[in-house]
Amino acid sequence: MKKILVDSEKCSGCRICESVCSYHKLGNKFNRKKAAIKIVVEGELGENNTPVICRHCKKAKCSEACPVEAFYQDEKTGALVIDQNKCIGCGLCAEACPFGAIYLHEELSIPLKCDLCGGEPLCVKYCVPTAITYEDEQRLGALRREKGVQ
Amino acid sequence: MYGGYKRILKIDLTNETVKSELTDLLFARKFLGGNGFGVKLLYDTVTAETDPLGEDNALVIVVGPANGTIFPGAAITGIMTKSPLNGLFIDSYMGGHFGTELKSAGYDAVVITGKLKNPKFLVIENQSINFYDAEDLWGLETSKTQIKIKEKLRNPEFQVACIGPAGENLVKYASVICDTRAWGRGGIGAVFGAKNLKAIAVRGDGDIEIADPDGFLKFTTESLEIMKKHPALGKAIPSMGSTGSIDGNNSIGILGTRNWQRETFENAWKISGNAMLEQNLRIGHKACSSCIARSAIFWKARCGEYAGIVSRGPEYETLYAYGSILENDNPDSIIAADRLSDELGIDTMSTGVVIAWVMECFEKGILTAKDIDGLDVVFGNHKIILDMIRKIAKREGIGDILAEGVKVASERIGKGSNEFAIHVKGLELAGHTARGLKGMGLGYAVSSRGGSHQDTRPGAERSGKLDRAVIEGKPEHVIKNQRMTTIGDSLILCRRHAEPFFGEYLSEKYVELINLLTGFNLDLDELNMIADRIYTLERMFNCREGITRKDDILPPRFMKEPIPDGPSKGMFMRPEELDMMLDEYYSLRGWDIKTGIPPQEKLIELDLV
Repeated sequence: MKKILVDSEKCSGCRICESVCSYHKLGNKFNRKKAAIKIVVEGELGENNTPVICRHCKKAKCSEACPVEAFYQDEKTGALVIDQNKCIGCGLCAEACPFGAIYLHEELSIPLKCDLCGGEPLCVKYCVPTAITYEDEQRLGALRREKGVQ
Repeated sequence: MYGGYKRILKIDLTNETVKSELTDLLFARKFLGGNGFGVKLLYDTVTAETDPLGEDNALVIVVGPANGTIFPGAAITGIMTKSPLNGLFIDSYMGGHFGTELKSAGYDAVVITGKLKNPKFLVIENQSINFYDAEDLWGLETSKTQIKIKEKLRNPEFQVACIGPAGENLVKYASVICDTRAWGRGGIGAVFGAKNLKAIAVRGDGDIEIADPDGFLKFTTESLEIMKKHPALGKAIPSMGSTGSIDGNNSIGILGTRNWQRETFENAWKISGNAMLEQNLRIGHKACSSCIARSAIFWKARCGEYAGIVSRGPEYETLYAYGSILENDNPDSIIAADRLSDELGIDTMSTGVVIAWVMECFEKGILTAKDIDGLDVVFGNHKIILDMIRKIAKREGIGDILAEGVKVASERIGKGSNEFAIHVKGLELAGHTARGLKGMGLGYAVSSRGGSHQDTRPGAERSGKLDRAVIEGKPEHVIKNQRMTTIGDSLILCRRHAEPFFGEYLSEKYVELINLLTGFNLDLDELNMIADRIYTLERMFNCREGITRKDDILPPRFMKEPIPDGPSKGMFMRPEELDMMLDEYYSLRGWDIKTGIPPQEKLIELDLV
């Protein structure tokens, strides 16, 4: 399975990922508050940017917390997604996620989370500094090791 | 709503009341957004009698049709006001993320008038507008102010634009800081201070819509690919921001040095982006909204008394203002001065030009050490820069006069010191020559803002695309270039993205982007007309304040003293050259040649009356 890899050091905080994500999720509108990826900014001068996005955990806390079993795994991409018809919008999944990668917006009836855009994540496509990439899951950790070796 | 336009918000600070109205589409088609909205709303709100620091001056905050979208560089937010520095029209622009939040909250423009009874900060969150007490924030530096306000509001998503001590002390070139970005020019921070307005926090949840979403996405995606491959935008700027221009300008002898006594600086290489990179001073970079250039670089001072100080910047203009113009070759001191200026909320460009003027006054014996509070204000001495910045921001000692700007300070000190006060219409000059680039010289002279490098751009002449030594064709070039900057500021787009992609002038590509965003179906003729309408209205604003042809001049140094050495040796702006260019400029603009005032028939043609 492929996963989205995050390199915070490369993230410059332009938030184009949030915008294209919302465009895809909402259909033809931009709204960063309705994106399934979020940039968290920290530091005295806002110098640290961290993209926060669903990790599609194998033993997912969100899915475990769901009282109506609305979560299922997409066969093609392996993404953990929410069945709109089953979801009751209680938000327990957002509370349970250890990474804070599920988001609520008052205008949306179900929580927002990454669905990997059917295998071609738009956030990755538009990330100019390549802070987020989409790679085989065995590459997790490898990038950090390679940096250490350098 | 069609074209993504939403509402115009009007806030009266005196009564703490708020009104909002839908943006009129005919108004939008006439003025486009950003710069256009700002000048029209300001022109109609203030009068010639308005005191810039009085209750009746207005702050107009604007975004444009491109804000909040993914078009690269669509990040800018503008603020217009009557400048306390020169009493004229000023528009200042900042990147960052403030504009996206403001537009998401549902506003195309915010007009703020009146004065708060005691210090407060304003919170705009969608349709709810609130005032919070800011007594405990008064006196605080800008980074702490932003952190405290986000804590108070319990939401880090807020973008907070605030002033520091300089704005509170009504320093005439105080800036407004948001994140690490600045609305730097013309003293907008002093207008905040005069209104007891410490900060504006904004956040929005709304959708941003465009007229033709599919066409826009296609256009943007293709533009993005072209921009990524551009040598400046795709490579040089992401690695060193605009700091590369130090080497570039110095190599052709047009780098303001020693208060523009010279335009070549032997030690320029020490403060260039390349040298700073070699010394490993770069510790990260940050982008504005939807930006691919990520030119905001965090530099860290490594040596001496400045070691450990981190600043977002300096960029080219600050390297000029605290570097070459002071003959200062110590990059660490510039990093520290840049950070201090942002924390105190003061414009680096104006401050640097003021300090350079003091240095020359000292050199010529016009000011003595006693007048300058015992500081050794000599060219090349970086040790006094931070002290001078603090004195100005706090209006201590000599700082009190200097806080009025170089024009007023030189008038008060007298003794011929106005001969080397480097300003146009009271606004201190940016780091681009008015002697070594003839078109840029004309651009400064006629600029609505005064000594700003954002009305006319130096690129075409500096790169050799146009012969920089001749005056032929320059008036036409300046007008076409100003049409581009005017529309760029109305959309609103970052120059660093727009110039490499669209070029120096308006073109069909601009028309296409605007039509995709707004659905207006403009053609290039109508777009040129919009640009002329906006720029002429800026001119009318200034004419209402008494500006005429006699004010469209350059500092005496640029019109009398040839560049003494270096590759541009001998170049200067002869008064008769400027006169010839002005004749042609006014005539092409349709303004009265004798006075430089737009006549009634031109105003009718532009639909301004």
